[in-house]
Amino acid sequence: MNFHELLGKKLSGNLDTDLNFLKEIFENDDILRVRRINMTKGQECALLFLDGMVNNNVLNESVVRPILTFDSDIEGENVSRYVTLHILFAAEVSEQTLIDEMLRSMLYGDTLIIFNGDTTALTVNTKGWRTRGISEPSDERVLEGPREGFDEAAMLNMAMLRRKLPTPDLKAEYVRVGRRTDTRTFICYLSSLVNKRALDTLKKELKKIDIDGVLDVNYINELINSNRFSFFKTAGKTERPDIVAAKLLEGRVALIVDGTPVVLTVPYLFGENFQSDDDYYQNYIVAFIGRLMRYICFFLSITLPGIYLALITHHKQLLPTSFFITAADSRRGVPFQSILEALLLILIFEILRETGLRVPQSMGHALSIVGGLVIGQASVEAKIVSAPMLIIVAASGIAGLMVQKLKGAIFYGRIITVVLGNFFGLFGCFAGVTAMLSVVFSLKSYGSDYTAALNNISFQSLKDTVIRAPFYKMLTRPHSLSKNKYRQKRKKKL
Amino acid sequence: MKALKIFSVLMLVIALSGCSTLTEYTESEQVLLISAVGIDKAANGYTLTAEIVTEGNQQTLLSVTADSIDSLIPNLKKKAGIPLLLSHCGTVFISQDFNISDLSFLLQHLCSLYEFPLSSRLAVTNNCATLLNAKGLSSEPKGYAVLSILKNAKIDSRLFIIGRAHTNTLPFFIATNDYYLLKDSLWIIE
Repeated sequence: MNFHELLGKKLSGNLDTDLNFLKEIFENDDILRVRRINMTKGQECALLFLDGMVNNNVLNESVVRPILTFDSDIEGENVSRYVTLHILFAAEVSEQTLIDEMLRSMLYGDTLIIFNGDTTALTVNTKGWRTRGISEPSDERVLEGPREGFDEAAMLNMAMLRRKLPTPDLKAEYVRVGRRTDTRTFICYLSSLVNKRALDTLKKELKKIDIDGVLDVNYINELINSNRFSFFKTAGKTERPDIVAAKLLEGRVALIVDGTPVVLTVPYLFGENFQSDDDYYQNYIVAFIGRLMRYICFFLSITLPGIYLALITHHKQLLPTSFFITAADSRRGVPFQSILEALLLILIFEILRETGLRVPQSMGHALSIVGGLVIGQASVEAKIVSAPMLIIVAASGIAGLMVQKLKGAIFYGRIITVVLGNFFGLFGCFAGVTAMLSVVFSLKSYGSDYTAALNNISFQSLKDTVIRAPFYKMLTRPHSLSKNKYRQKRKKKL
Repeated sequence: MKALKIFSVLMLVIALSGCSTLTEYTESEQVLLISAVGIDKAANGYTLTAEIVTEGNQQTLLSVTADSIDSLIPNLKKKAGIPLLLSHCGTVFISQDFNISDLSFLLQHLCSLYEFPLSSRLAVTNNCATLLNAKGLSSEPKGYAVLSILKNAKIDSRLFIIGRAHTNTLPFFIATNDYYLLKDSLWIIE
């Protein structure tokens, strides 16, 4: 039985009947615990909770003990209201009349109290399930700056975010997604800064979701993202509360989903792919160099194998003679065409990279030795691949690692330029790059232009995209994101 | 919008299909890299001797004869059987037997070959085939013949660079040594 079948149903007010009904719903589920209590003056009630989901101390001290030790008359007809107001010690108690709402709360760690002669039940916040705890996200480590990361519990994540932004301006709208998982989701934003278009789009799209289960934020991202065939990310993901707070301060919307430490932020602009958490926690001059390198490496990573292939197969005259002789010499004896050689090496590099991510950390060094040295050197010596191609693909791969957020786009971009470079030379290679840039410039992320900062180029638009300007120069928020333009007042010179 | 996208892709495909590089695909090891050519006058026309770089940076020579200068390169291509890479030809040697009209025609012809680099050096010698056959003046056993000769040219005082070409012309060499001196002491190629 799922929630849809229980919609609108209410308790009968007869404790035995209601208990039997609830037990029937949880038939064959041995986790359900039922505790029947005879209160004073013949009043009966029952506590229902799921073992492991509740904090037993809270349950005993805030619910069981006060009910058992209560020895006065219950005044008035509404027992549940009286118990809420006069008996329970718990801070958070809700009155529920609909069975599906009662079950939702109970399934999330609350204790359900039903009474004989009352169709209203109480749900008491006794949540006590264990969480992983706050730790630094392994994929988003920083040299300096905060080291806390989100947890799998949405409420804890909300608390962490609230601690960063202790303002009533921070709003968290609660939405449930997933027919069976009933996943708790929070839409967070700063009401005075938020990009209304993105917020409305997100809310509208969330309402449309009709899926069995949502176990991670990526489920939602894929379901609501309008750029389904794009290999460029149009929604940001992070596990760091400081990053989410910074994005909310720029007018973005964050989506916190229960059960995952990853938080979705929208709109997501192209420039964000090149931003690193460290950029904001170290000297801006150093950060600027790093960011510039990321842009350069992105283009190098995509074009390097394609350009090399175009040069050695179509535009040999553009290579220095000595380099061409070396390249041609190393190609002798290689059984594959240059394009196959390039694709093979790209594939091997991707395999090594993926394997490196999946294997235990202790095996990482062994993998790099086997992958980098043994396979690399052996394949050149065995004349399976040529040394210059190996160097070019490796350089391109390493350059690609600089921009982890665009790894998908880099992989596909590299393949496209290699294929076009092989068949059409440099012309094809750059036609491919142009086509990719056209795609990038035509993308939209939740109503905002993906390349908004690059459309109207000015210092203020570039200050946190291509460059990382010092904070005293970052006077405005990104124009395309928030209508509340100024983030700091211009200081008067003394 | 969809129609515009389809149209853009179609235009791109059409533009790319007209790309000359489509037909010029060759693997780097499947071409003959020509590092120098020498043209001598022969009894029945002209002889072209091409120095080809082979595996392991070794040089080998390939010769063809034709009754006219403009038939030399096509004949060489035919004889080689595989694509020639003229774009890395560093030096063009001409025989001192060339007269002004021969030289003018040769230069015009070379300039009209789009694959021929305009940065090639031009040198004059008494017999190009003999020069290209020489293993170099240096004592290095693996010396690159032409480059070695040019490297040692000043020592040998046979070849001197005396000027650079005008725009769209080949840079040129002339020999100032009496033995190799052309009849006209200086050639300005317009």
